Amino acid sequence: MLRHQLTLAFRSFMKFKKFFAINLFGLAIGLTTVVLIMLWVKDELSINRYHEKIDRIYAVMTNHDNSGGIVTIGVTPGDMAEAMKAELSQVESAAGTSPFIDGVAFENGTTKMTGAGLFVDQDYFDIFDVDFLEGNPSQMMTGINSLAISETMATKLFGSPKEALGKSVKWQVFDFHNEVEVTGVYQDFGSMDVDKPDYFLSFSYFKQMLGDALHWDNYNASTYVLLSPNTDVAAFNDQIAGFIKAKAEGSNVSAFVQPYGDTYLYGTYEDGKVAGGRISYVKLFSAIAIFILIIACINFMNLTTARSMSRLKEIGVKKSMGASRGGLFGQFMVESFLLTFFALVLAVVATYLLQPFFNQVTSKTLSMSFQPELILILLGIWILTSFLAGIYPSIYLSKFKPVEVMKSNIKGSFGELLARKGLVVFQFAISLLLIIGISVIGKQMSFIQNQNLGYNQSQLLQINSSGINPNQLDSFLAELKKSPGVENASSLSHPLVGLNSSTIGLTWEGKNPDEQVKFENVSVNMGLIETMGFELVGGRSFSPEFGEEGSKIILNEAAVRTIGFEDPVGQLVNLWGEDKEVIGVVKDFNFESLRETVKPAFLKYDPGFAQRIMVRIRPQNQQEIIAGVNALFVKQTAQPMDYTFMDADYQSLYASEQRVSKLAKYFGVMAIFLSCLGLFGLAAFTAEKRKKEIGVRKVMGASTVSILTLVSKDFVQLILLAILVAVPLAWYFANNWLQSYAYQTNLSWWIFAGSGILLVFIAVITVGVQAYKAASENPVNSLKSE
Amino acid sequence: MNVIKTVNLRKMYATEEVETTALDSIQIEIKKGEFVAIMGPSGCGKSTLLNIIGLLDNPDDGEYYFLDNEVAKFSERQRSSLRKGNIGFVFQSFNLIDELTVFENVELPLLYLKVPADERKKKVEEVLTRMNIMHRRNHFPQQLSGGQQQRVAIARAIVAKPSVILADEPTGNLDSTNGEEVMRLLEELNNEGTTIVMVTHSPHDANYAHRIINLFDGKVVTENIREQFHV
Repeated sequence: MLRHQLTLAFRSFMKFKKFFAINLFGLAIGLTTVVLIMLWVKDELSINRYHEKIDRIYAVMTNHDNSGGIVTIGVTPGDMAEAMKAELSQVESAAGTSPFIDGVAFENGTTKMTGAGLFVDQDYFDIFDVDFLEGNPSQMMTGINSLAISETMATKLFGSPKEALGKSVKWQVFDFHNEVEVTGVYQDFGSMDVDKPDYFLSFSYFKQMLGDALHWDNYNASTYVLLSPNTDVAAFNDQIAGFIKAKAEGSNVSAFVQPYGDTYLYGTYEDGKVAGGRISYVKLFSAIAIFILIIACINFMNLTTARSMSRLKEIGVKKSMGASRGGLFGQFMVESFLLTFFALVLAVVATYLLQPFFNQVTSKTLSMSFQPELILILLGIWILTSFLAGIYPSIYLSKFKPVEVMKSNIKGSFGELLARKGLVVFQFAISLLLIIGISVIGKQMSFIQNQNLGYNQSQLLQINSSGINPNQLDSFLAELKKSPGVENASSLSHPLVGLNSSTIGLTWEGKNPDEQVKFENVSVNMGLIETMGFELVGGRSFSPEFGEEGSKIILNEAAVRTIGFEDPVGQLVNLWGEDKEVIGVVKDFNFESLRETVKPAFLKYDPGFAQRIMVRIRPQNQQEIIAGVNALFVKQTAQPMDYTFMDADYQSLYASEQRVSKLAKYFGVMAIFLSCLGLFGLAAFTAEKRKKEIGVRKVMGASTVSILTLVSKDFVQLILLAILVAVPLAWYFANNWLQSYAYQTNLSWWIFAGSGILLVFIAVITVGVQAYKAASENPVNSLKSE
Repeated sequence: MNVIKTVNLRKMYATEEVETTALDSIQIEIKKGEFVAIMGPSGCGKSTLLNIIGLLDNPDDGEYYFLDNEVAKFSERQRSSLRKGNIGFVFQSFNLIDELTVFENVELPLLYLKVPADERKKKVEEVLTRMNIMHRRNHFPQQLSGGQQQRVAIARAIVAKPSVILADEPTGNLDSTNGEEVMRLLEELNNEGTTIVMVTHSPHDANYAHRIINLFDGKVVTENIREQFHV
């Protein structure tokens, strides 16, 4: 029986080639989108989760109860790991790590290179799976002068991992340097890791580097713990909430643990609790995948039911010969399964071909390897899609009564028409939702790009100062300024974009001592304000003319508002116990994503700690100017400079939004294309069904235009209905999304009107082609065939 | 023994404005092995009656006994299972499935009866040989002449050896030579014991039947017994 059904399905495909092609390609396009998104989602869901003990690994988070609300960060005091392991019975292992430190210079006497990585405890290798090629994992960081390096780094420095083991390496970052021994070489981290350290150094050494900064009021390390099996995590969290407060009197910080596997997808916190994060993109794209699949399935449903007239004879004959409804239902389901199978094969091939492109857009290295898991997922998609697409047509077709069928007097029932029209409305409503969504995201992105950030982002180079001896920084800056094409140059403590060095140590007269106020803390060199193009709204900038500037401070407007100074210049504030005189006020500048309002910040003069050098260059001959700057850098450090353009850096704050908006654009186009494909098929069918009517009308003198209107009218009505459904929904979602930005573009009416008009336009063209074909045909042809 | 018996059978058709009586108080009895022709002008209810007899449709009122089962109120599912193997249909327009070959078309009823494949093959070949169409077994319906198509349709109707064959104007789309051949085939089947009920416009075809039932405006007007029929 199955063979019979397969044969019949196959021959039926061949007979109705046009419908078959529309159905096949429609489903294939839909499935390609679904498979691509599925690969992406699968990848997102597996990041950071491959570790063998992942169910027991937790990251220690801290909630800082500041005046502006609770801020949650994954940073702890440096002694956190050691103390937790010693005092809490549930903690099997605990590892402290430094922040990810890049620009560390390594050399083995002959070869120099820079790397990014972490300082970690020995326990780190007990908690996380690091794949060691050389060395003993259980002895990796037992010595303070230990170094574990990646295979790539070992190969660069020593030619091979084997050669590297036991060798001596010198490293240097800022003022710190040491000579260490390679105790291990591990396989490079892959796409399943967010951070891909080139090196691991000893956390004990990092604590030495911290020096006085290592105490329970300072947050400068990350802590990961391995809890013993069957630990009640809720109870454990209650237990550790006051852990830090018990060590540091008056602290406003409470601790909790978050499953390490979740930290990637759930990295946003509100009011001290996990509030989502990247998971929202995973959900968004999963929803888009489902919508696109539904659109493709609706095409299948509509075309199959619309085309049912041509199969009535078959249904009738079979029923009269005793075929049961269930048997016919099965037959149509087999067709759906077969077609979906072909479509899925095409989709897999298309996915394979599109992969490089998709990887580029998503910045991932996705690959389709046919492991059992993937095959199982594809099987699931196949079954789901076949059911989704086939169930309605199968029920619809198998329920015909044989006598009606044989008499061929089936007329579309009202319910059936309603269902088909409802499906079309649904399709186009989703398409419109996507068009509006894309437009709003695009508008917000361009709004952000044109927003005045409080400084001039263009032609501003940001150079990693790693390798430059702090004592020679000023002479290097002086040399830079003389280099052709360089307009100005200075240095600051850390990258301006995404500034992340804050302090609660700023006080002033009249401040409520119980309230903790966080200020962003930027240490700058002479000329930084001028180089950046910060606008002074009062007072003056740091300048060598005024002698010693270390006791001076410059505030931003937000800081002035927070403190409440009416006339800030000349006032005194106290920073970490030292009085500082306010000498100037800069206009607020955005150092974070425009999701955030500008926070209070101060600039202090402290050129000693400079991670970044800022260079303002002329717009002409940029390549030459940069080459000149690089030559100076190489002369100073014997290594090429690591630099970025400030505007590009700023854009990277919106990388995920831009990626989402780009992807949404492709998927939106896909949805519209699929909807139109369905509409095209339906219009072709309608034109064919009304061939005789059209013929008669033409004989009676109807013009081509009136026929065109006749055929298009119904469809345009459906599109208008879809617009009516989609616009309020789109407004609601867009408005919600914009709320996440502190600075937002407005939802102009023309986005909605324009999207609607675009949709009607596309639909009219789609239907019009078919209608015109029907209208311009010689009426004799259509009448003769009756 | 009655294969078919109806008591006061009624069937109405309703559109929004008018209600038409298609069948009115039909009382007929057809015995096993009979060959009955139903005649009458267009719109008299011939096809409606045949559909009800063939269990393709239900009457609105009255009783209908098929092989001594009261089936007037049967559901489509019940009718379907009773139809299977008991009734063979021959249509004016042949109603062969275009996507299936001759062999596959004839095989169809056996598939629904879940006959095993080798047995199916044997039976289909047997009946195709008998219908003298075996050499066309792998052709598609469109590749055959009208007469050949109707022979395939008859082959399909009899392959499961049903007790009743219902023929709706079996020669209506055929020229006289082919029509004659089809009628002779039906007669032959009847001689072998199959009950045949045939709707026809053609007095010539009706001559093959034992009995002619004339319908007019949904009522049986006359019954002519052409020759004595003995059970």
